Amino acid sequence: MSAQRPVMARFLAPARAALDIDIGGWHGEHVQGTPGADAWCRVLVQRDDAHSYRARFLAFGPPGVIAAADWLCEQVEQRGLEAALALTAADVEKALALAADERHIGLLVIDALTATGAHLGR
Amino acid sequence: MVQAPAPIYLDHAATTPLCAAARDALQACLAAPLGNPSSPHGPGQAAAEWIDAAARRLAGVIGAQPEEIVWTSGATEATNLALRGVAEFAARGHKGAARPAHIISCETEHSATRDTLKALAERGTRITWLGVDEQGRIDLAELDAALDEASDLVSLMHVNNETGLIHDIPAVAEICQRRGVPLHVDACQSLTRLPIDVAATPIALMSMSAHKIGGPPGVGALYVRRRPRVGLAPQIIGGGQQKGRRAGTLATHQIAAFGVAAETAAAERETQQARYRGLSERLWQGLSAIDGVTANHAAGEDRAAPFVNVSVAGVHGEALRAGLAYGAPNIALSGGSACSAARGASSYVLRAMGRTPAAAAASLRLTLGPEIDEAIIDTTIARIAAEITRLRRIAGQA
Repeated sequence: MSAQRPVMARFLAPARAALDIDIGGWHGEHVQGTPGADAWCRVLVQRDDAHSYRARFLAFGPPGVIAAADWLCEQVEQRGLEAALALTAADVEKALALAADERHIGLLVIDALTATGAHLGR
Repeated sequence: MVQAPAPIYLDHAATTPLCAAARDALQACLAAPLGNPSSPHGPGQAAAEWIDAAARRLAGVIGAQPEEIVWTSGATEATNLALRGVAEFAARGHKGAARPAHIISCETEHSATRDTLKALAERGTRITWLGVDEQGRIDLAELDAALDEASDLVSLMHVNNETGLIHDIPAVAEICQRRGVPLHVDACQSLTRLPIDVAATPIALMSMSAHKIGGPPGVGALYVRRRPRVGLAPQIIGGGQQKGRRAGTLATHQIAAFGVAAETAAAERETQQARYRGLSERLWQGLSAIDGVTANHAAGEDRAAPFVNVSVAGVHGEALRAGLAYGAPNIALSGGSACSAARGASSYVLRAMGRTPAAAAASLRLTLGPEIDEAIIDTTIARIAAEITRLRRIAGQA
């Protein structure tokens, strides 16, 4: 583990952690956990207008989970929800330079966003 | 430019900074025209004098004779020599007919002992593992009951490397002596921290490490009692150095520095340990005020003074340790031992003490050293509290 890794920079200062917000008013949200309950991720998405979204997360897990959730929320805001939903676990892995033993993290956050997207607008 | 706050080093059970006296000895040896200490000429004998002096220094710290010190590459090798050496010697049939050896040890031993014994078990050595209570203590009656006529060795650490729990070695040694079974002690965490006197305590073998006491890494020693002598088959051969007990050219500079470090730390023992007792109590009092923090270290005088070990509820252990290691100020500590951290596994020591896997995974081991003072302790408490709060907020728990 190195402080220079993309994971560590985001882990130490996640810009999109859902701190001090009322999550009850958000349009879509879903909690995704790992089978061993060692980590979980909750992604929240709010549609501001037809093309603009805000995304936040809550997470429990190793640094990679928090960093990956933060990166994915950033993608929702920068690319839009539809484009973010097209991302794969491999995209997360590549963007954050995840190690081989962190590959499950990409799946965790992608699954959380996919489920949130399905809930959005219901 | 804003200067980053100074890092805080609280991992002295893993390794200690080189002390000034040891550094001086190291540099003096490297600068001197020393030869091979096994050589009979002047430069060789000059090196041998440094090594003899180191043996006198280290032996003096533990109440041994200089010729009872066998230099090794570290405590792991010393422990391997003790355990494999006894098992191999017994298997040759020196205590009657050739037969598998029997060694008694404890579930919470360092992996140097555990893994070596597991490897020996795969080759036929009979191993009896003693359990521990929630504080990490063995039951002396259980130890007594585990010994039999064919027992070859009891191996036990003096101070647990994760929790600081002090095993009652004098009581264990008394049982072993009464039952006629040699005792090997892993003294890595107790050397110069607790009084050790092998002249008064019937210890047969004892592993020691330099880099836990202000000496350099890469050198350790095994104390081997002369009388009664335990049968020990050498594990490194080819040269006959150290009377055939451990072959290989001796690292004069490292050994010299080890001897000086041991003597220096022993001279400061009472003062430093009393200081660590006060500081670790201050640290524990501060951490215990944080919601969800519980102690894994033993209470009171059963704990070696520099150790504090806690579990933290509601945070992920890896995240907590990473946040402390890479946030500001950096705090260097560990979860479990540095050796188990290298494997990424939660602490088997804490799980053997009955802690849940989650509690064992979310543990912090903090161990004090000479440079730690009250201000550093208070900064550490505040920093840990802030990191716990940060992670709980990210998880929506605060």
